[in-house]
Amino acid sequence: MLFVEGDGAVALRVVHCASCGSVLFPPQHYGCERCGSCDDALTDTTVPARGRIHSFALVHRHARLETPFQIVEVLTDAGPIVRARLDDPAPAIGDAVVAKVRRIDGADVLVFVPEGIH
Amino acid sequence: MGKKNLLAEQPVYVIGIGLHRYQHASDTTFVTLGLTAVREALVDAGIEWPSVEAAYVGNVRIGMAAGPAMLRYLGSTGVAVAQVENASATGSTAFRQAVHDVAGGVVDICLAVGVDKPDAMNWGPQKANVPTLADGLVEPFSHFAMLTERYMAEHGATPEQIAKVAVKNHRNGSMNPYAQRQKVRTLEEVLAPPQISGALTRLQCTPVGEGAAAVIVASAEAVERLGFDRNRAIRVTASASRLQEFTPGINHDVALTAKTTYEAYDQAGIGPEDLDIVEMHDAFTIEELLYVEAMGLCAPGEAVRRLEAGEYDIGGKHAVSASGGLIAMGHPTGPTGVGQVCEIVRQLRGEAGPRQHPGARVGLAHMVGVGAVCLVHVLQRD
Repeated sequence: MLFVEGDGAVALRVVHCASCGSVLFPPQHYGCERCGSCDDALTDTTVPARGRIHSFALVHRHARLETPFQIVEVLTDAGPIVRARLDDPAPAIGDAVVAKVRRIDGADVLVFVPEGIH
Repeated sequence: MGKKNLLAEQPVYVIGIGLHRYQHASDTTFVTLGLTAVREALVDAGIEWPSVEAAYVGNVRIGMAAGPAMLRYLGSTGVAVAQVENASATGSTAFRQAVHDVAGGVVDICLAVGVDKPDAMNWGPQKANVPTLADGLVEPFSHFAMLTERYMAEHGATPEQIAKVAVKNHRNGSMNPYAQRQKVRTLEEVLAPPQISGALTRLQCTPVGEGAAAVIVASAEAVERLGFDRNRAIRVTASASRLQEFTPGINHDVALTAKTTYEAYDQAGIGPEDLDIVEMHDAFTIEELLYVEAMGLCAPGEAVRRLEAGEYDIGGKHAVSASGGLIAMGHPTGPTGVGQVCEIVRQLRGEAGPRQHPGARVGLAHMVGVGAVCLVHVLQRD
């Protein structure tokens, strides 16, 4: 899983690089994408799944998925830009968003929503 | 950089160009597509197949050993052959390999050919087992829809203004017999449904079909030996290739194109003001605006105004996507980067007919591909 739920908040699983301080998402242990460090330099950790909308789109066409649906790029408070589904009636770049976990097609899916909406 | 500027020391020329029209998927085999382009390039260069010492075949979807399965029908010569894949920049990479084989003195005459059909794709990144939150969610058109949204927010541009890129490129494509789309389109037609993603409509997105493009490159010695018309030999003065760097918190697209393009400018000893012809990866309208800014043709945020003033039209300050670009000429993938070189050579020779940009002397070819990778070449009339 790429995220964990607890205390009413969602956290993203990331990898922290001790050599250069980078926060890596999606998490992996092949090597740090910035400095190349591997093995013991890389540690699993979590960061809050929250940030600001970097960009978004309403997708009208998709080869397999039911449309329309919203996608978002979130500039997380922790640094990485992450892409995921969005559920926001009036998205705008710069707006604060947090992640929620929704059940979509039988799977737990991370969806960003406007901050303050539950 | 500390790198040897090979193309400044060893002149390499394009002497032959050939294409098979880009088109919707058909029953035509890739062999017929590819041979059509190669034979046209051989005729254009005025040489026979046995003169070609090495060949790079670019394709992303046909599969292993497609090159030999096609080239064998040109006759038995023992030509050195290799297949090249680099996502959307595949054809550009095949061209780079051919140019460097000649510049390095390995061979005197080399072929780069791109050929592709819209068969099923085999994706490497999916096999890395690094899932994301957006797997299968963000197709290329949605990546660029998000860049469109951000550009509109940052610079106050409107969907109507951005769509004017497609009006220009469809108009250019209407004059190109090799283009997949050859119809003039009004702004209303470009903005009409179907909507694809965000502000992008169908006519603002590249069609991915089939086709082929071939280019023959030669050393100065070969040009001399062949008695080739020097006015039709177009020199390659730069070849730059980069993988995106780790840039947390920003979109990499603009930074990657800027860095690769400026590396090419350095090699060729030119600047953006020198460019007459620019063939770029305009798979989606927003890309043309982002990349003319990244290439230094104008300041960030100014591209719409320059576009509306006609600066990027044929006959304007720089002809951008005179071929119709990916939006109108099309993006069969393997051929695309090679086809850009064909257009630039035709323009610099002054042989582009109704879409000729007057006085064209310097051209730049730019492609990006999944990775993200970026390749930039500069071609110049001697």
